[in-house]
Amino acid sequence: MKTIVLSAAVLAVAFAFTGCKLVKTGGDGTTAQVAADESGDDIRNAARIQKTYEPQLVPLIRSSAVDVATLKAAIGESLDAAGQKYGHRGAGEGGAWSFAIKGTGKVVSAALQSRAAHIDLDIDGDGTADVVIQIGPVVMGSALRDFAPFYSFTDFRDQIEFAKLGRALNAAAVKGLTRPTSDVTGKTVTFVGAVSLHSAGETLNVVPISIEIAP
Amino acid sequence: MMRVSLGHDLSSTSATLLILRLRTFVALILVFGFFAYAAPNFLSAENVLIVSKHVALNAFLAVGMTFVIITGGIDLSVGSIVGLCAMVAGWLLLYGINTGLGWTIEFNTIEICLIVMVVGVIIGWINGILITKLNVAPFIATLGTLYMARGAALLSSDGRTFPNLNGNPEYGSDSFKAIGDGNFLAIPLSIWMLIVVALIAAYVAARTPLGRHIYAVGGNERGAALSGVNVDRVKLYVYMFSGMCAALVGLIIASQLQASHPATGETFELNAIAAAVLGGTSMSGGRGKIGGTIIGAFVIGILADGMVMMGVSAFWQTVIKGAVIVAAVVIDQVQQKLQARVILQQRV
Amino acid sequence: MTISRRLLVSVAVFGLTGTLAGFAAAADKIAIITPGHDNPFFKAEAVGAEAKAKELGYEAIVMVHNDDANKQNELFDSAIAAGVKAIVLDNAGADATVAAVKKAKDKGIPSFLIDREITASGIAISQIVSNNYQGAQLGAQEFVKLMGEKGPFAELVGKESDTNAGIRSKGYHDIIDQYPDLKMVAHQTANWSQPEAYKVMESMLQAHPEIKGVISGNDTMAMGARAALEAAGRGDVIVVGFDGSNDVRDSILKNGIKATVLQPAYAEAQIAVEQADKFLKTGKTGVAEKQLMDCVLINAANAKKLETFALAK
Repeated sequence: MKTIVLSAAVLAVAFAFTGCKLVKTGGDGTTAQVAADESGDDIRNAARIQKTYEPQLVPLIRSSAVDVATLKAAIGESLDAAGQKYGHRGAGEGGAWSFAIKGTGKVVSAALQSRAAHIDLDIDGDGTADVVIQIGPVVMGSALRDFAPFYSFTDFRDQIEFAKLGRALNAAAVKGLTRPTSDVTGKTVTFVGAVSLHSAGETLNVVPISIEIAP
Repeated sequence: MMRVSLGHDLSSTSATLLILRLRTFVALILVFGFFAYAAPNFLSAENVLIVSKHVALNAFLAVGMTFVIITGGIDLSVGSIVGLCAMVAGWLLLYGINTGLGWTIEFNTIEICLIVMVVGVIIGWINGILITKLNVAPFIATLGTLYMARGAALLSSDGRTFPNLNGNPEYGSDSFKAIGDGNFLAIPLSIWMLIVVALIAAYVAARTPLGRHIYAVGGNERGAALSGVNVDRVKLYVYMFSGMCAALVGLIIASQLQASHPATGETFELNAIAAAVLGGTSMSGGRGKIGGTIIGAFVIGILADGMVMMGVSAFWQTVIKGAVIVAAVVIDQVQQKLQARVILQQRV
Repeated sequence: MTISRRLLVSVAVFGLTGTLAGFAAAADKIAIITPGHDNPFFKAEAVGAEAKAKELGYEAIVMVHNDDANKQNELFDSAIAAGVKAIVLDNAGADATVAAVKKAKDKGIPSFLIDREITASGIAISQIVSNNYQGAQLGAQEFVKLMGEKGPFAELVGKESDTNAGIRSKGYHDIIDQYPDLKMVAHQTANWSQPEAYKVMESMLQAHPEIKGVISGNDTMAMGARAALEAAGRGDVIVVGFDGSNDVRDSILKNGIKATVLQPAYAEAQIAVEQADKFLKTGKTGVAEKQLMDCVLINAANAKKLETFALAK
């Protein structure tokens, strides 16, 4: 009884398989195209950066960068108004306003040993820091991504892919910087970059696309 | 005088007994009638089909569970088998089987269904072997496979979901979504499948030697063994059948969601047991009917969907579901007592 | 006799639930589907959405799917059959939800997703997504600062099959892994659960008594870990959570847990209902489909202002 049932089952399965078995070379076609899931994130983002960073984003930030003083004054009145005039809001109402920003100032302090190294600049000459220039390699925030109107969250698979783009843009920006090797306190630094603000009182944590240190 | 009054008493008792015996059916009518009246749009043809589709998932498991319980066992692993089988289906659809020789075997829908059902049957077989050959109590054996199958499901994808199970027309697997979504004569395929499985199960239970053996094993295992029933084989079959029913549910869910998630089917085993018990299956074995189980599954399903449509709080839904199950068992006990009394009276 | 009495009682019980739930009114209905209300976070979502729906003149049907994609699929069926005009959803899985939302769309019922996204665009009208990744980075930055950029630490991860568990862990590691002196000595799931986190933390302390910090995928696990640490006399260990629950707020105020990250659940749910209302009335929401809601760091400085997943201005 048992053997009959078993062999019948085996026969049925074997019959179904010989009828429709499809054997295909492994990996053909799948390696050529980018995986639609998470594993394809980096490849897709690399392509995006290739296409947009140098050709579009850098020129956009250079051309629309606002002086620190102008921006600070505008934010002082109203962050939303300043945002509508100079900035771009990344994705959705809860997001921060992002601005392109430029300026020249004196280094009041520098933390070059930290992984999240930064240079603090005094712009208005009162001796206290007005902006913090992040020179990495750890860079916080996604100001570069959120300032650019051509990266829309809706086009991304999920927030991880979107966030990875933010990080990749930061990395691309920091890679191009001329990093100071010795103490720079007291020197004059000129920068262009992007900054994100949730509220008016926040520190200006700039992601720079270029810095120049005057001797 | 005495005889008349006794006769009267007897007939009223047997009338009560009849109602009691049909209690699941009465409950079904009550529940259905209530929601038809109280929940807006409940009675639309569309919704009745939707409810049936939801009930079908639990009913598959409950049918398999009924046989297991009749033999005096329990199968806690069905929910995990649902999850694992959904993952196997997802894996086969997305990746096929990589032979490691530069070739990948891709499958069409029918082959995928067969493989997945074999996986379910194999887990059921493991349950059976543990219980019969290794003498592990059914509760423990299937508790073990519950965890193992769930763990395997999580491992298969590292906890992620297999997405976009649309199949590939090149391999003939694009018809996979029809399992959960397709219709035949305007009735969803999953309901047709349930009808087929339930009819076969009812036939086996009522009309075949195997069916008689299943009841015999549950009623008096030693007696059955002495009268020549191969107890181990009967038990092996019921767990394998239960595993296959679970595999079917895994297939249907993967197809409906077009995705398979490793947590699919968590606590399904409890709903299946509830449906079987509600349908009059005795947890101590030897007693139960497929028809009763199907009705039991409908009572639970209608209750759940109806309360959702009325917007009853989820916490109350849980309480009410539990109360209905307990009430069913209490009534079952009342019936047993009454029946014993009637038999006694008839003997007098 | 006893039987008919029983039937009467059960009919009465059903009748009672019926009247409690209220019979169909003329108002348009919105279905609000979230995971279980036993988690205050999801409860806050449901309450927020329901309040806004009532305010805008809708009848709300509140349903829970308990993170079960199959149950969610069935709830969509029931919601469609009940004739709702829109569905507000905190979904049960980025991939496993696509089919259900599409089914509703095919029946002409728009879906508005909150908290978590799905991996397809163009089938939901709005996806108002908690920026878990940004939130995790915020939490990790604070954690790094509290740890002084160095030391051994442990991570408690949420339920492995939940997308957010992965997203948060990635966000944490994106920041933390850039500090080579921060060493992760233990890494375990506690399935979002408080008692499980307690147990896992106890074992971790046995294996790695040198642990200086614990970063947790959510607040309930952080609470469990904190309890285990205090029981072991290790109140010095830095714990950082995620969600912004009132329990953790109280712990922060008592200098227990050091920080958490707030997801604006209440506000998010209300915005979703507002967008649903706008869409039903005008045919569009006026904003992009996918919207990110940033999370806010909660520490001793602002914990006082936190109440039920909303930060007072």
